[in-house]
Amino acid sequence: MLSCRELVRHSSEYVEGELTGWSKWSLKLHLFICRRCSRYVRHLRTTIDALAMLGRGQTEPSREFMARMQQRYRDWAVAHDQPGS
Amino acid sequence: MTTNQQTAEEKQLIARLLARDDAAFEQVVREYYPSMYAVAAAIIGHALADEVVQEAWFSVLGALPRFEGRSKLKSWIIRIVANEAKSRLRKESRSVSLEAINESWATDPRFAPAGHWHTPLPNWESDTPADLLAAEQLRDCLKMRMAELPDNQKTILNLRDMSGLEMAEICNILEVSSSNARVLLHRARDKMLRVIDKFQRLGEC
Repeated sequence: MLSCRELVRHSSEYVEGELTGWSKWSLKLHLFICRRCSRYVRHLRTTIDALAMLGRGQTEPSREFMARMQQRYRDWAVAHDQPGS
Repeated sequence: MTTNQQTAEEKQLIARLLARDDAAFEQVVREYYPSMYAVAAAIIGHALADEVVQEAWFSVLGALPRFEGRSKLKSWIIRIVANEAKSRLRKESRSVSLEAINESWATDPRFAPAGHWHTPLPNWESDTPADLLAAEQLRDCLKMRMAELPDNQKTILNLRDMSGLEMAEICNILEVSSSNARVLLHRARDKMLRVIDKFQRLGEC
């Protein structure tokens, strides 16, 4: 029987659906009878979703960055219009 | 959305970019910025990430007429930014180590020697991500603890969970084995889970 420690160790692979065959079934079976591990896996999923949510709000380009990009895009477009330059 | 629709959309986008469409360029730069920044910052650090993203965009524009559409546009762009960051890193003659440190589960105090829970997690009062993150203190705490992770764990957590890249893509970009990447990712997630858990129990970071 799989130990709780082993289950926790492989729980990311489990929630990502990367386990197959016996590994997957032994985890499923363990989770079916172990409330503590079920709770860990539930909290793991919540953690992953929270990180994704945190990630969505994290980075926006600064105004200076966008201004530089726009300028360089225009320069690039001009250079592109005149072959050989 | 089907793959075909995506391809048609991408074709249209590429055509607009090549036709010097300012608005299309601004839109796509903004849309891809978080992922591109994450990849660049993961490889070369925050100080130079913006510069690397900018250079990558000009490599992208230069190569765009030859883009054959064998991969998705975004994956292709991510690879370009990764290469740009890596070549910059070589110029700076620094290197990153992505070896998994052997932090042992065997001595993890949460488990009894036989492998069952010694200190199981309690239920969390807030059980949805939105509820959890409503607490500004927890958001700050997560960011702070994330910054303290070993570089290799931070990089993979950032690319996988914060930026949503596929594992295969991440292994490719960072040139790590998938088993190594999985170990690092799970270590980092487990630590973040414990940060949330402590906050839930004690209301502190």
